[in-house]
Amino acid sequence: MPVARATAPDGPVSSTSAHNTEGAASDTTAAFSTSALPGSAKPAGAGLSTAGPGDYFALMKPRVMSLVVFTAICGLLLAPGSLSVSIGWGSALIAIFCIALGAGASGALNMWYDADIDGAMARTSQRPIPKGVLPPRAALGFGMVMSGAAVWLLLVATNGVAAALLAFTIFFYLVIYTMWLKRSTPQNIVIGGAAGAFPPMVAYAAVTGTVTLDSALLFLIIFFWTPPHFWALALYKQTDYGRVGIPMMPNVKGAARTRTEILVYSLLLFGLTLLPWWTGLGGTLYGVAAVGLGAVFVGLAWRVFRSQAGDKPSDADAGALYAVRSGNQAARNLFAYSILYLFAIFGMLTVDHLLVMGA
Amino acid sequence: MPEYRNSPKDFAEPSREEIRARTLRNIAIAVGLVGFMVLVAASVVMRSPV
Repeated sequence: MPVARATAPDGPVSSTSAHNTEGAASDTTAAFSTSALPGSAKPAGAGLSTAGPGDYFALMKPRVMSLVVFTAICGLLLAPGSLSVSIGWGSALIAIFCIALGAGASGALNMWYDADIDGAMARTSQRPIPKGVLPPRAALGFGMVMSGAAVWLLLVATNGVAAALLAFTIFFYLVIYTMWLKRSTPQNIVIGGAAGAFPPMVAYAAVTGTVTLDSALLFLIIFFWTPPHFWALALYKQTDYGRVGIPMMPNVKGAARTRTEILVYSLLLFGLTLLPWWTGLGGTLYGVAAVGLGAVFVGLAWRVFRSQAGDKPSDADAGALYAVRSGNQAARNLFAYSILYLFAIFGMLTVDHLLVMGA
Repeated sequence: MPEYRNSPKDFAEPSREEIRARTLRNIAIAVGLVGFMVLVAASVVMRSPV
């Protein structure tokens, strides 16, 4: 039996087609109100939501959450002292759960605010709000409740510093990045990337109750990893961002400048990943891995730099079109490798640290 | 005096999908709340001095 919002006389009341950069959030909201249905035909059902728990889970950006959980686990294990003695395994597990919940809540709040642009981008058009499964206000309520629960539980389970850092992370992602920087500057993901860099620092603080040079290094590695990671994606997805007016670097400063900045940030990242070796957070095993992994990263960034990724050639110029396609493939390779790289660099640092501790 | 609620005029009956989705949401909320209470209790117990 068709559900209420899909039985309007003129077909499904989908918000997706109605999305544009202005006022689309209210269109989406209207799609969930039976009074907004055109004509006098009475819809089947009572106009209740048909969203299930899975739709709410999708709001939490599970794939992003997996990276957050991984880096947070590394942050916990890299903190000085034995975890079983400092806060105990139970509290450690609850801390990871809280960080994941906080990340998921940020994702839901981000989807609430970006409801107007998500539907117009191929990459995000299948999210629950643009698909018409959930109204934006449901995402707002869900995100707020989950944020409060995550911060409070982390406070009860560990300490005030970790809870305050988690609260600040959610605030930073929602207000500083999503509401402010994302739509106003091509440097959006450089500064906004801090939100994704906080989880290992939060986890480290959950154990130690403080922020140290080592935890700041974990933060900085993700902070400097974010620009090349996102700009590689933006190079071959720039039409998506341009269509909705998001000032990503390739749209505003051009593809050539973006390729240069990718290389610069990749070199900075390479140097930065060697610092844990110097501070003693990682040993020789990590140092060798960081050099090898970083060399591949810089190599891929160099290929992007030398390519024509993101350029806009004339359709008549077949040679230039081929060069751009080839360059876009280089950007795809860098994007894919950057995900693997972050897992590998944090994984090697943690394994090395645990081996040294066990020795 | 007859009350409106005893003879509603614009009553809309939820469809089977709506009822099923609502039930699933209710179960998820209940499980979530119980889980949250268990975690809070566990945290308090684990942090209490022995």
